[in-house]
Amino acid sequence: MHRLAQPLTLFLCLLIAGCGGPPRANPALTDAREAYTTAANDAKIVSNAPVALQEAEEALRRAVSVWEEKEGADKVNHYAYIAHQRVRIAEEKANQRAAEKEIETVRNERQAVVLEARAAEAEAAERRAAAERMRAEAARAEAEAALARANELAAQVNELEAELTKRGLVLTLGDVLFDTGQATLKPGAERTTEALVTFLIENPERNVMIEGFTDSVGSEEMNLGLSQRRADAVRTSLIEQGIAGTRIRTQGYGEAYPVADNGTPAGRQQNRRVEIVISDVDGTIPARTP
Amino acid sequence: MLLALALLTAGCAGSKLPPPDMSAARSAIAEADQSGASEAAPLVLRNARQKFEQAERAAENEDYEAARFLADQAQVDAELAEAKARSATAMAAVEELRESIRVLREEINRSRPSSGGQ
Repeated sequence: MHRLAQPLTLFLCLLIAGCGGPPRANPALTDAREAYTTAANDAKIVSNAPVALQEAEEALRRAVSVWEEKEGADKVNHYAYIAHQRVRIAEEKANQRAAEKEIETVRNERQAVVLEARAAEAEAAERRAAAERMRAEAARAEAEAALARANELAAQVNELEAELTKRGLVLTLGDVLFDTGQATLKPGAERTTEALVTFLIENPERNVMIEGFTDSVGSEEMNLGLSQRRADAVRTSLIEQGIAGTRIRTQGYGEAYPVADNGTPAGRQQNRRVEIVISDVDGTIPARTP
Repeated sequence: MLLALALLTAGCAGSKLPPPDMSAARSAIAEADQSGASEAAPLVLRNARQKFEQAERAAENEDYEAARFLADQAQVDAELAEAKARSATAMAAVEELRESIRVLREEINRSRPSSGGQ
């Protein structure tokens, strides 16, 4: 029996492959081992996926023992593959856990920014409201100023004692202001035109048209001339009182456009007049319609 | 001695393993699918499915050892696919929150009057 044992043992050893020396290195197992070592040294994986890491370690141990017992390369490859995948699973679970922790932090950060955004919007709204209040106040002040100007104008117009007609304001200078049959103004005329001069100075955009009229006594030609000369005389007076000549036009109409009955002395006196038409704010005076 | 030899050769000839239980692999693949792995980790999930089918064919051919190995690999592949899908979802959620913070900060800058030294 003894003499047979050795060769028989040798035969049996050869049958059970490679029981003589250490197992041959298996690349898949080496890779799995390296991957595990890296993961086990990664603090992020250790703290975030400890259970998965432990499962990877168990799978690696199983692969190592299969390899040590020389159960065949295919089997070792299989268990090494399992171990390597378990390491990868641990990595992914660590990523997931770390991200979930980060979600909490970032969610809080976002909430703070939301509050900040609301505050900024409230500030902006307040600024807009303040600007709107200023605009409204300016508009109100402007409306007040316009009203004051309108009131002042009305007062000035009142001073003029002018009549408002379709052509505008008309100031009438009567016959008594002229020397009889002449175109010279009596001294008192200046006082009559004082209010008009003040008005024209304070309202520089306004112009005047001075129109002269006579009664029907005498020739048309003579009356036309007289009425023109009387209108010119009023113009000269206004210029002397400081109004620019470019703002004053004159026209004599003679006997035309009577306002009273030329058959009575009173009517004739009324017709002997000078009318001063004041333009509107853009300086125009509508033509006299026949 | 002869008995030992007989036992050894019997072991080398072919395993008398029972057919493997495929249910763990099957449910791992289903869970991976539900977690969105077909978008986040399509290749890994495909590997899992292919190995599962190979395991079923091996089991039909009564090669139970190969079927066991393939089923185990299909299961671990499916678990990896699911883990990848879940981590992708979580990281996308973080990015979405960060993006909304960026948008909010832009709004804040727009509604504040520009200050001189920035």
